Amino acid sequence: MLRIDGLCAGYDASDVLHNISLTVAAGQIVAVLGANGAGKTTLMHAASGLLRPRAGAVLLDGAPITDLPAERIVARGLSHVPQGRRIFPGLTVQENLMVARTAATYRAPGGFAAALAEVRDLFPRLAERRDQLGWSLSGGEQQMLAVARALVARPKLILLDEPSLGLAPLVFEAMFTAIASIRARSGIGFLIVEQNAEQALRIADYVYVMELGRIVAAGLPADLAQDKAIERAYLGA
Amino acid sequence: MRIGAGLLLLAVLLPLFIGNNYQLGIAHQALILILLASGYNLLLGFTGLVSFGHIALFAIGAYTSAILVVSYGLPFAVGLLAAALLTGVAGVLIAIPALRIKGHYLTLLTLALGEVIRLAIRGMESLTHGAAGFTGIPRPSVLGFTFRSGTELYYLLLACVVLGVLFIARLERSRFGRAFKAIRDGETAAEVCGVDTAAMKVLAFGLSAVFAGVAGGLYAHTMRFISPEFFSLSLTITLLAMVLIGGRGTVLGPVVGAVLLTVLPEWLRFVKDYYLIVFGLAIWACTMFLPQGLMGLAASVVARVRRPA
Repeated sequence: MLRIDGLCAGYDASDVLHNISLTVAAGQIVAVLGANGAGKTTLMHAASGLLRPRAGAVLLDGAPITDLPAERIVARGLSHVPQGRRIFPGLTVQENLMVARTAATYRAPGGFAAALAEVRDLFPRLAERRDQLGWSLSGGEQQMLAVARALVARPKLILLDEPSLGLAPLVFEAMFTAIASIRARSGIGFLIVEQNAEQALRIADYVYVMELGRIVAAGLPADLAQDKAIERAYLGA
Repeated sequence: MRIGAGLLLLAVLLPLFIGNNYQLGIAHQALILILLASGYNLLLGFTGLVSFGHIALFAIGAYTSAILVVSYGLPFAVGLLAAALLTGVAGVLIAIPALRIKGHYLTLLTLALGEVIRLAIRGMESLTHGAAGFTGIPRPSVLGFTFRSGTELYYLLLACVVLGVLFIARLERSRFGRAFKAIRDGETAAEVCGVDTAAMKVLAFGLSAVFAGVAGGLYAHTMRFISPEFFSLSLTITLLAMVLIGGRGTVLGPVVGAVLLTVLPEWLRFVKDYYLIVFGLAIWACTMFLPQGLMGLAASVVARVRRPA
């Protein structure tokens, strides 16, 4: 489904990512763990078209999307939920969702209405706040809205950047549960980058560990969780 | 909506209460500036792009219509349509460099482009009569009817304003309006939501330029005299103040701002040019305390009255 192949990327004079390769199979939840500054967000930006990679390729369903602009990549079925949520503060919840509509929203059975119904099932709180402006939402609600916005585009796979950032433990636990249930219901795959290893290990099918722009370990969550050395070195546990 | 209807009723009845041609002239100016400020709000308030070159587009509209009607003898309607089209094209051309640069650099670039356009107008003497100004522009005339009296002209301008404001109200509720605001609220987020930010910025520049072109054409035929000096930086600041004080990103904000800032200097005549200090303080106060301007204040007052805490 998503294959990242020898990806190198950076900003101006500094190289951040060195030869990153990873795959996410259809309907898989894959986590990329690593400390602050490991290059996780840069990886997300390079995959979603916000940052042009210097070398390597990003393939979605076997087709290269490496040099497409961000909005075209969304249309291909790869949605990005950026770090810090980035909801539109001056638009209502409903308008935030409306902006995120794509051609795929309408190709899916039931169109936008069906997408809204799904969002309502997953996040009833958002339905209650339908006509409130984005800035008035709590952090947890903003994260829900950011994920909901990605769902409206009917993606095959969602890139999720630090969903736990700034959220209370109970709130981000609920967030991860929602992610697992989205996958179970609609078969959407996830590539999640996280500093919070515990929650990511709980729902992920496969885990990569990043350090200083390189992938230094990979494996099943159960194996990695037992690998105390890796945990100490990279997960800060 | 109700505020808009109230304002419209007031505007329709206003000529009954206006005593003299001088006051009617101020009303004409206010209406033209509503159109100009409403278009500018599409850029500044909806899309979050700060252009300081907007007055140059207004000037292009004014000169296009004046030249076509006076020098080439074309009808007013053709002049106005050409003003709208040509200014729209100029707006799109300005948008192209604007796609590559952001923030203050964009503002500086548009400031420079605006000055270049103004100097070019002054320089092309054979076409524009240069610094001396363009005189003898006829009053608007449509299908043989000439809007000769001040009251007739007032209603023509009002009709244009109503059409323009209704268009913006409709645009705000459309996918384009939402995309503009999404870009304003976060360009990266808009991109990852699938918004074609480049196309939307070009559209915002183009539409706001068409408003400036129409306002410019109407201005030329209302004042019957235009000169490059009128389209200077101080008018840009006034325009900015209209949108900020009235309420950026709201449909009626520029309407309120344009009326207030056209009428206020007349009332503040006794303080002479010091009224600019008042403008400056008002802009400062609005950005600090009323980010949504007077219309934002009105909306929050209405909300508080309806839902007492």
